[in-house]
Amino acid sequence: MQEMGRSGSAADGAQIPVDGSADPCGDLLLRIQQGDERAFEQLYHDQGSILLATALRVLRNRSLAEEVLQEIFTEVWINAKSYRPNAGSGRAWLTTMCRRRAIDRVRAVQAQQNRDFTQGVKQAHEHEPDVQDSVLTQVEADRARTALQRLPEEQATAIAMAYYQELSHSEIATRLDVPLGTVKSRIRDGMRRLRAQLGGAG
Amino acid sequence: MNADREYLAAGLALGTLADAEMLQALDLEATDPSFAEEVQSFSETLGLLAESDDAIAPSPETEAAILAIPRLHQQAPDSAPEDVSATVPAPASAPDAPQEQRERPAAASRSRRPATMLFALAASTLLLLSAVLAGALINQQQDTTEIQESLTVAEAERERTQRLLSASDLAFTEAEATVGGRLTLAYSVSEQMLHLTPHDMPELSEDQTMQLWLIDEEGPHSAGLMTGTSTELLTDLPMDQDMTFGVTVEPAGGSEAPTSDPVVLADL
Repeated sequence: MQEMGRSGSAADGAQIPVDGSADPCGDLLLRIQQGDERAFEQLYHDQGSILLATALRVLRNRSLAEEVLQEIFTEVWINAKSYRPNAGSGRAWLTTMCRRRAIDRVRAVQAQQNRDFTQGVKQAHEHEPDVQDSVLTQVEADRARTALQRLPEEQATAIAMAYYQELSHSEIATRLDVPLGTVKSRIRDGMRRLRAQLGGAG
Repeated sequence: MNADREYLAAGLALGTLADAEMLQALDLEATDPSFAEEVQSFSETLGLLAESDDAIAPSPETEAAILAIPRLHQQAPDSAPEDVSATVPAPASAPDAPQEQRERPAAASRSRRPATMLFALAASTLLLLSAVLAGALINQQQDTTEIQESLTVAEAERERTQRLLSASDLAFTEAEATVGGRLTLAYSVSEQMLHLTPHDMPELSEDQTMQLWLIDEEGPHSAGLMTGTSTELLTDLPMDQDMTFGVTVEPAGGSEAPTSDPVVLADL
């Protein structure tokens, strides 16, 4: 179903660069701010496949994920000057934008579904995200295919539900049937452990 | 960093804190450089988490469309937003999106959950009052009149905020700024009030200011000035449901009408 691109994910045990001072994404974005088309192409070749994977984790729909990817790169080109290096790395800026746009798209489709339902004209739509899937089934896939697999399962599950589905911590507590304080501890400890494993500027 | 602050920093990077915690974390991020570094560090980690996933090659159609973007679109000049969603051609495999998806403003708004935001704003007011009282205790030799004036100002602020919190039509919106950062708006059309919280917006030079505008069919109407670095509570605004809220960068002192393109736009 999915065309696999670059191999060698962390889940496979490959090494991930953790040099917090190197920011090739940021360097390319600064060149794009000057209208450098080659830098734009390089950024697409470096990050397009990763961003598509992130969008797909959120949207669960290939067509919508590719649409979001195209929007992101249009935004990168047109409004490149909105990137500010002192606010974080280019990689963090891109992945945050990607995840937010994907989540916004899920909500827009869900809102449209709700309106359709209210109006009594709800119809099956071939491009709807599969929002009816079991949350936990999705999370299991997210955990298995990413660096989250190296975390304790409880911590990885909480972070996956927050990161890929943007569930609030109280929503996570409800779905997992655990106290809210437990979810907060899992998020905090899991993020701390993830940072120790993957690195991160700061 | 203690456990509570570490949790807030991690949750802010994830973007999934409850609204009261979110406001607390945003305040810390704006005022405490070490906390801001912690948030940035967790954000970098999440970027690396994304990179750990199996990459998925985009379809040839999408790749061609993306690589054609520089030939099809001009870059926006400094501080000039462009409606990206309106200029993005439909991908070859894209579905017919609902109309509302094709009409999103460039500064995409993100709804907030009002119920918990009420408590968050109330907490902010209590923090403000506490700060004033703490200041009063620390500076016992300060002139009593000044303390009373400060308390009066804080009490008036608390009353105004309470009015906003109690409004039946209280709503929340978040908009990204083209110059970087974002702006959270809490507003009530019935109370004619608007509360602004800037996040990570750039500091302006001394000869510049940010000016707020309410835009209707007749055009923009000035709603006051803001620094872009502190919260603002605006009252007695001539708002209605169909207006758009905008922010422009203007010469110090403000302008009669906008002299530059908006850096923030949000539909009310």
